[in-house]
Amino acid sequence: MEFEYAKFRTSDGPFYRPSISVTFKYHSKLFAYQDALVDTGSDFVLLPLSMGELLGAEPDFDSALEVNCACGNHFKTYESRYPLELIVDHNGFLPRKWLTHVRFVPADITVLLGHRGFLDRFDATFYSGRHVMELRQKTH
Amino acid sequence: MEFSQNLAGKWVAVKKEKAIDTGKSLKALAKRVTKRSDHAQIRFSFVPKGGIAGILYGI
Repeated sequence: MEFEYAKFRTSDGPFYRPSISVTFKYHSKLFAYQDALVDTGSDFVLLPLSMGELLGAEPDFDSALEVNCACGNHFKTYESRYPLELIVDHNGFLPRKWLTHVRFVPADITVLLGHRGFLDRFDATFYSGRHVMELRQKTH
Repeated sequence: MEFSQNLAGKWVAVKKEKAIDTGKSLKALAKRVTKRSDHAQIRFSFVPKGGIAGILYGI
């Protein structure tokens, strides 16, 4: 599956980022997210706590984990008490869906699709010249 | 999708890759969107400010 990078216009010029739109499902509630960042530098799938609240997905506050960012700071994350269903529905392909725990962050952040729960299911190739990312689901 | 500069730091409601509403609060934005007849076609996104390098906005 090929996905075009999302384009972000800023005062420093445009940034192109590998992103895909995904839907999170918890019980009967759906949350469709536009252009979540595919982040090879993130160990986890990170969602803002506000998304979890809308889904009714309870964070396990006993599972607090300090995560480090490139700025040198760290921040607390909380695992989802129960797994969420992550759905990738791309034109021309059957929907891919699976259950995975995510981690919630008590701040407004863009959704990060890191290794555990997302990238560990795919082989990914980034074509920077075309601003396109290819994801191939792993068969092993 | 292309995100314009004026969306930076905001939650955005998106329909067919076009921003149709924005807000500082996801909860308030989602509440407005659920009242729309086309709410099932809407996606949400939080747009970071400026460049990012492993830094989560708001942390």
